[in-house]
Amino acid sequence: MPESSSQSESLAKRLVGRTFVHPLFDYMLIGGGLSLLVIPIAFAYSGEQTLVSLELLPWFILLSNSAHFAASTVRLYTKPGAREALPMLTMALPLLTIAILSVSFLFADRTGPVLQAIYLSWSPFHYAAQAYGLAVMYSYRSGCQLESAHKRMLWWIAIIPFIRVLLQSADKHFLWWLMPNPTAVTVPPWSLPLQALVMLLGLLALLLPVVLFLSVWRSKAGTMPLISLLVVITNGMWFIVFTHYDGFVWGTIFHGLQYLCIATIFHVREQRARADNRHGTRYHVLWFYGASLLLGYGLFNCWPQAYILLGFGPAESVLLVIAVVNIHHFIVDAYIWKLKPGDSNRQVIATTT
Amino acid sequence: MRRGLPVDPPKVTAAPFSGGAILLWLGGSLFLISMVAGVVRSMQSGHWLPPVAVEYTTELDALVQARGSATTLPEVRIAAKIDFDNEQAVNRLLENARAANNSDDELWALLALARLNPEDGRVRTDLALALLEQGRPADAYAQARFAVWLVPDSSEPFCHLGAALRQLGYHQQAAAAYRRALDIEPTSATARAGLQSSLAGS
Repeated sequence: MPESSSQSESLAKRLVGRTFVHPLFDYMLIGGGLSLLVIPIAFAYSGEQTLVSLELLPWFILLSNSAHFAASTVRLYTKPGAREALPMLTMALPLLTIAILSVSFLFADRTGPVLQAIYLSWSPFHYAAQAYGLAVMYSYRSGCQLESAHKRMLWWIAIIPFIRVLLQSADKHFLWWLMPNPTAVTVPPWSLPLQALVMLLGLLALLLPVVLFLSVWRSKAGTMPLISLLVVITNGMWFIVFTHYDGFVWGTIFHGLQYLCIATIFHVREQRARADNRHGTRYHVLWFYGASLLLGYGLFNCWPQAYILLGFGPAESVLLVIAVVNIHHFIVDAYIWKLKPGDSNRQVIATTT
Repeated sequence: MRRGLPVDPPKVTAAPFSGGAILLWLGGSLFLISMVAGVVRSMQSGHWLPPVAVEYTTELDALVQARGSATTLPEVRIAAKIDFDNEQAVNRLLENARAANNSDDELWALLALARLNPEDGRVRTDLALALLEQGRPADAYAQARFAVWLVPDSSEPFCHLGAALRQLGYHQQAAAAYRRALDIEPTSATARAGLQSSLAGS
């Protein structure tokens, strides 16, 4: 029955969606499929407490996480039209960041906890927002015209892991400022309903993406590609399957990998689309990753040493720099992925190869 | 016809930003100077380049060893206050605060440890004592009650519970707590003295 065969082939194509590099690459690295393979292996070898004392962890952090933080800055300064479209971000933000960081050193015992709480709260939100952005991007790219209601629903589903993290550990984020006695939520009677709510949110974070997928399927929007579903579920997995600390470690590594891949794809396509481009894909990939790695090393490894040289303590030198670099990354990231009319992001999403 | 995001021709809205280039140059220069300074500092401490692991504990531990616990209290305090979810940092502050007889820092560290390990009976017991020493019997009572529940076979939290109740004016309940402490540890001088005071007060 050739007709039904071509129908199922077309369905399979619609479900896979339009990937950027290759379905295997996109699903594994950008969709987070690789983390779904690594998580059970990590559990099998180490139980719930994983990666905490792994000697290779600093290298993982440098190659994936530090490079990903720097990648947003590298992309900001290499993105066509960014300096004209985002003058404050490209020209004033670096000096402003250095100024805020340096002033915060003078009152480190007061500014440190605030900066730490801001970035630790913002991180899971940033991961969730990235999952949402990627899900929407792949949907658009695959011809699925998400309605406003679906997009709203997708956004709320994507941020469930973030809300869960806030409730799970009351002392590591901005809610901590608002509590006169933060210990109260960690002991009965508050701890029990909170734990129940946390469990419920964990369940919803894994189930609701499937409900949304089916809802989009039944609507006129078209088929949502499975990668959009996967990217939202894997973000939830990182924080639900692991303990709080390990969730952050795994989330950080796979989010970094995901970010580096998508940022590299956008960079390569933007550079190759330039009229004066003389290089191939490999050159642009290596250039982008090399620049991100070097800048990442500079930001996280060299910069704190400069403040120690100025006489500040090792703790504030390392921790304040980490917090400020994180916050800078979140701010830059909030602007460079916008799909505003005329933005080069739109061209990249629309291109096939 | 392909569906999806409508593609517009690249359009850049130029926004004039006077002095932008100067700010960028200044920011970039300061950052580059910082990088060089970071490498210099790293060479001073015996490395060619800053190490791959981004952590402060090794340097802080070396500082504490070189200068002693009491004198490095400010550095250790800042570390614990910023890295408030790091048990090692908070424990280091507790140790240094005790060595320097600083009750404020000790109380802060114990509260932070109680947040990190809500069901640690030792921390709750020490927290009850620290609160008693700070003249906060109501808070000490809450912590001692929790400690008694966590470590019911230890006399110490019962003693703190008794002391808190006595300071709050509940002498009979205090005497009962001290009696429980003596049941567990009949030789406890603190429990015996507390019982006598409670009986005298009631």
